[in-house]
Amino acid sequence: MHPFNWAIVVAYLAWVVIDGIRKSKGTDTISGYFAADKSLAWWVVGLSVMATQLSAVTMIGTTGQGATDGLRFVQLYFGLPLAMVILGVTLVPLLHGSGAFTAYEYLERRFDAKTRSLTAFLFLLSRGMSCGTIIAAPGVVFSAIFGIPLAWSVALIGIPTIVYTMIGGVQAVAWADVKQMVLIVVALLAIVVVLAFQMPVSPHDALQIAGSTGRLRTFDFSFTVNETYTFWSGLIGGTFLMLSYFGTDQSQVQRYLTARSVDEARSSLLMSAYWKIPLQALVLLVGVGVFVYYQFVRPPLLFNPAHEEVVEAEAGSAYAALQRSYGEAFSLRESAALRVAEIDGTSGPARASAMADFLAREAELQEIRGEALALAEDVTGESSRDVNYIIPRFVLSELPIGLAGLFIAGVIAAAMSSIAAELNSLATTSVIDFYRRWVKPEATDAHYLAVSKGATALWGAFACVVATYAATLGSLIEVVNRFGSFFYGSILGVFLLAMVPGSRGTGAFMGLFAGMGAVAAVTFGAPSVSFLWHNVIGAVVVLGVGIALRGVGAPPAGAENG
Amino acid sequence: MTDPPASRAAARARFRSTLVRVLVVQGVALALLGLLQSIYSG
Repeated sequence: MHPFNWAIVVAYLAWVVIDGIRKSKGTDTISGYFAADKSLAWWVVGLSVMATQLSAVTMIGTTGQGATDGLRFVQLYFGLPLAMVILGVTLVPLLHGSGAFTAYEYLERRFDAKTRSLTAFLFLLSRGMSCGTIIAAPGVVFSAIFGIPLAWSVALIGIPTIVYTMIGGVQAVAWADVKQMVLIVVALLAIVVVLAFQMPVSPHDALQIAGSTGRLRTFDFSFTVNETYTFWSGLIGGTFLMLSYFGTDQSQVQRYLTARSVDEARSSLLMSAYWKIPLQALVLLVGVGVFVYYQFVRPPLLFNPAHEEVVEAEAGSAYAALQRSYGEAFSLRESAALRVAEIDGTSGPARASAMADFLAREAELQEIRGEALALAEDVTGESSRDVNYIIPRFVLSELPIGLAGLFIAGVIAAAMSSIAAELNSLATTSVIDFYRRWVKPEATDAHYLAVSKGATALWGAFACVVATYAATLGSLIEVVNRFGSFFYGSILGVFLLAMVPGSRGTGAFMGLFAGMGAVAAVTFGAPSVSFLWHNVIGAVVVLGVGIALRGVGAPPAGAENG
Repeated sequence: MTDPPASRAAARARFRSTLVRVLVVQGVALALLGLLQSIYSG
């Protein structure tokens, strides 16, 4: 990467850290450190919520998915606006009004200590590991693209994040998120502008080409529980997924607990309700635009430069032969794409014939790519899936100096905003739900603050180690992620049960196990069922069991029945 | 957490108006995506 691009990245990292430390003023109490003394405006919280959800995977993986698969992924978010509205009238007033620092703390007041501890433990288990994977995903890509050791790219992302999160607490995290969200949107718009100016065909022709490959097909109205990206899976399963994520996951709940009032907390979530689908569509459209651009500018045969280098060194002649075939297939596809663009109108026999020819050329090209990917897999012994490398390669080779640095800084910003929220919430849950609850219930704020900073540093170090050894820990991470999907919906069920009058801790605790068991049974018994439906199953089973066991067990002290 | 009846009615009204606003905005966004699909996906 050009030194000027690196200068932009380094300047951005320095600014975030310095400003984060400046924002640590007023965080000398645990209320300031964990909840910003409930002082943040709705738009700060709203941008923080959006930045937390938008990770580096969105910037490089989802754009890549747009390039290879088109817009249909956006259906996953169709339930989000509804989920935000529901949360605004259910869990947000409950959690914000309770004065709790964590979502799980509220569960002890409503049910009992064991329900609180179990849900908090499940959160720490899954988020602790996923935090590592959030760093690992861009870390692996940067390592291959820039030719630096994985540990360095993990450190580049991880260390500044740990520093400002540890020193500044939730306030620094939220304000850094605001800057990061702005940078992310500017970086995406920069690509859109560059694509608009550099595209060799008109926007209408570009859409014709994208549409002919099905990449503008957003909606799939088929009703099948085996498909994740359908209208109904997105609307129903997606609503439960978003209710679980935004309503019960401490990494999100902690964002809106910092809002000045319940109304401002609601407004912060509504920002996502309004903007998430358009933003996600923009991310995917960037990928679609890059796909069309590569119809006229020859893309690399392998997008992962590290794999390309190894394959050239160890299977040079086979790779050179594939490169020749790829060059010929590209020229034929380019001519076919131009013919599709040149035909006026969107139907008719001439257009149908041009489209059929283009699709045949595209299939030929993809077949050669498939052979190259198989060769890379044979030679390196690693997965050669290179969706995450498409956009970074495009950015570094096609974007002007300065804008490329801006985009790379945007990817780092996206990673940092998600990691910071995770570290902040992991530390809060460790200290509030375990240390203060079970180890040292009576201590000064200064003591809890010191422990919280230590916990942030420890979780950060743990995440960096997991990220560095992500490849070796692959199967373990997969197990933890799968285990995480068992209880996500079930925890939502516990929070929904909290709103049912007369429900008690015994029902919640037993329901949690029943919900997780039901999801595990579906996962292993019917593995083709999309994970989106697991949350629905988990939540419904917990509610059913909890309602059936209403009145069983002791009510909590100072019980709240509504 | 039991709200008095008046504030419950106000909350319900707020919920309804918020829901309508969000649905209208999303409806427009989805209609645009649908239009793109119907014009260019043949």
